[in-house]
Amino acid sequence: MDKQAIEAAKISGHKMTPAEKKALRQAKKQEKLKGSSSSEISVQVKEATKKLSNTSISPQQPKTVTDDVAEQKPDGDTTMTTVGRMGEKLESSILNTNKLQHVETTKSKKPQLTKAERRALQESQRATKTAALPSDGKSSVKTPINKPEEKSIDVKPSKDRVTPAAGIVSKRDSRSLFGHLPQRDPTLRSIPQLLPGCGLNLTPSSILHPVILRLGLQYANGRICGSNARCLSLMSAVCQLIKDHRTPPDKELRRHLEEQLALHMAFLHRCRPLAVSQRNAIKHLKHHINKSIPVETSEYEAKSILVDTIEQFANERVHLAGTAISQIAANKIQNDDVILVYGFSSVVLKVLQHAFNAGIRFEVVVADGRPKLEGRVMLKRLITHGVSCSYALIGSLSHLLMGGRIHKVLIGAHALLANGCVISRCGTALVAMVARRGGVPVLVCCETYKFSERVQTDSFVFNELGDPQELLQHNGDPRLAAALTNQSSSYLVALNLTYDITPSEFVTMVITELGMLPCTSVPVVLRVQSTELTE
Amino acid sequence: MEFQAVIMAAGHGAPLSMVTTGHRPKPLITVADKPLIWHAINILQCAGFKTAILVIRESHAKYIETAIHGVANMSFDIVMIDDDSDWGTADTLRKIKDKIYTDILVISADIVMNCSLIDIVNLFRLNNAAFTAVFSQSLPSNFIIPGRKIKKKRSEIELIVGVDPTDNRLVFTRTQSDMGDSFTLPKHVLRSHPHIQLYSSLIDAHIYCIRKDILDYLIIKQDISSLREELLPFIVDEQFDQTADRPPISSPAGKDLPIHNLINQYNAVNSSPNNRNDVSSCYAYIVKESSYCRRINTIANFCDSNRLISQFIDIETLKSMNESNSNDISHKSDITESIIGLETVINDYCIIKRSIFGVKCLIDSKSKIFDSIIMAT
Repeated sequence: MDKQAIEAAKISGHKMTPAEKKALRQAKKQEKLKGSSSSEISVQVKEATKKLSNTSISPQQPKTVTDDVAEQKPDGDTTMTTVGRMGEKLESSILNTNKLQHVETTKSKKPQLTKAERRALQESQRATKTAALPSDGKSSVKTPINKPEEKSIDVKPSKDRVTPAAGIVSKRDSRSLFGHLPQRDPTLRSIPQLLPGCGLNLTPSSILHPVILRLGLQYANGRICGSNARCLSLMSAVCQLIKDHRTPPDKELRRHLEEQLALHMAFLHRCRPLAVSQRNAIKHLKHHINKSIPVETSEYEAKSILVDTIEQFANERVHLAGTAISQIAANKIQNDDVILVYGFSSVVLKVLQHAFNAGIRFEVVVADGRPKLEGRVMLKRLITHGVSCSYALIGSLSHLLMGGRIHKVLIGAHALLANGCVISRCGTALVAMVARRGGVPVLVCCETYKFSERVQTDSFVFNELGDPQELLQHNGDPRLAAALTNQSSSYLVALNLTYDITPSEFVTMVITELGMLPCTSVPVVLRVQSTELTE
Repeated sequence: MEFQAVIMAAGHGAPLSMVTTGHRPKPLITVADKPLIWHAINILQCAGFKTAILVIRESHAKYIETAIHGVANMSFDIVMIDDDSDWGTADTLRKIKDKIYTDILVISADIVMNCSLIDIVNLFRLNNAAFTAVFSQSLPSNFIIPGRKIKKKRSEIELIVGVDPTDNRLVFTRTQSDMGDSFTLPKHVLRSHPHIQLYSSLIDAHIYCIRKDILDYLIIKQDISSLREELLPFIVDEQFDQTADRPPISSPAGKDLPIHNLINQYNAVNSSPNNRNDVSSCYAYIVKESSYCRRINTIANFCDSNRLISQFIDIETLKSMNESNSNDISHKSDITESIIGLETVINDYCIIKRSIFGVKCLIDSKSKIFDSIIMAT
């Protein structure tokens, strides 16, 4: 019967079928070696089987073949399925043997078996791999760190932290959970670590301006805290930098100044990651370096223009904006109000001082959170001003806010994101959440220069890591920290997040110098600002 | 430039007269086989200074110039002072005021130190300080001084230093001449710094970082002639002076930008922004027990520093130092922790421990030398 079928096929006109089959087989082999997708193979195989289905492949079922031939055009599905199955059979036959005759004996079960066989093979290989090589885990930790490395400048990878002990999967996971955040260098407190070989930075041709060096040292040691303070200190230092800048005779002022600025910013970023307010201020300055200096001005004039720009920015966008916010917000404070504030915010302090000076009688509850305990500074400043205050820790928020005793919550912001979320000191999100639950309006006071086009939905995607020792210390006593880190250094990861994200649903209103806006109007303000810049 | 270095090498050296007899000027007294002035210059070089102002006596000029001639990477601006004049350190600063245009680092030429200047300078930078002083631990009282046995007086306290340990602020200082049997701690100091640590055994190491405006004030105030004895106590007391009629010393130069004045108000760390204390704040750096810092102004310090240096240099470098000097040391002698100078001959069967030998000494056989300093004339 076989011979008859083949002869019939021969007669029907497919004389070259063995050669065709051979050629097809070889082509498929080559394609397999190249690694092309199986879909291509199956397509080709399907085409081949289409041709082959004209001949009698399965002598046991010649009728089906002829049926297939007859039904080829109208009823494509069945043919395709049979052809598809044939294609898989062909594939497997190509893999296993070179003879098409094996295709006859294959039934519909086999392709699944072979696939399953393949799957089983792969899984067994995978299992042997993971069992044999525990260091594979290291490589998986490295890869998420490499991504932020490309973006941020001089981030030290946390390779040192991952111990190569095999078999403890949970420990690796706990470190790799926050491995994507830019890791802190614990020795970053003094200049030699920040700048190897820079020492006292004393030569006239030295790279860094001493004012910036000093500023970086102060940032790294936490002497200047707070978005506005950091921005203003940066502006003041950059003014000094510009004043002392001397362009070499062969270079142009603008290019050289931009290079110097980039160099110093990179240094400051290494000391402490730059704040959104600082970035925006530098962006503003860079824009003015490019646009505001006519080509023919002398160096002295150009520098004085830039210094004026910076001072104007600091005055208008930071200082006067704060004053405007305090005036607008003070209108919202009524007599006998009890206001809750969290931590220290320079703008909120201004608001309260302004309201107090205007004669409104109110009380303040200062909520505070570890490890920074900035609320104490806020408390001291308010008390010296004459405001009557109470002090509570963040654990008592629900007691404070659910009882209807608090009328308003005023919080400051590090930045406002384009999706309306507020970045603020760690703990603010809790305050806003509990306040909303308790029906207390949450007012965010934020200048417009802190608006950022970034979008972030939670606090873990991107954050700044603080000193983990701060968390473990109690009352400045280092013994607890030493005890905890000595014994269980491999199992304890102290995570000190500096900022957190307050979703826009928790915020009632944002008070800016442009007025009271809803959270969602941040992109509008940004768009208006950018059109002003391009004009 | 951020700092200018001033090396004060014009002192009398009277207590060390035993060693300086003859013709050797004090800055050239060798400690561990190197002249004193080399140590001071080395400290500055390690910190990265490329130039310094050197104040010396006119009679010493020749010797010192030849001594510093070979120093690489550093240039010196030499200022000479008459031998007859009795000028204090503040007077010399007044003399060189035209050369100074930034903050200064005053270092005395008789300092021998193990710790780095960078830590001291960082303290100055970090706090925007007006003045930073360095204090070191003094010698233990049972220290053996060679020479005639002097009857020990009742141990007197030379200097009392009060430091706030939280931020190393120098809040209080009294010298022996200002106190009788007791001293008073002003209340306003305690109010602003409730936690003070008082030290009675510290010695002023005479390394000062002084801000430019303090220097300008010093130029005006003619009656201060010594940095250590007069300016230091004055500034430390002045920083807390709340009397409204006395204006603050001055505001820091270059900080008259309006932005800078706002920073204090916005800073989340500053709980009292209108505090005048911070304009002229003094900080103290206390040298740790593990490092050494000595002023070579007494015989005791001189002996001790020689010994200490041989401890701090490890044995291998000592050996190589000794071998590199072209001296003739017999192999049958036993030498430990000692520094042997050029062209010294040591014969057989000597036992030498913790000693320092100068140039061209001759040690006969079978001698035992412990804890000694031997110099040829």
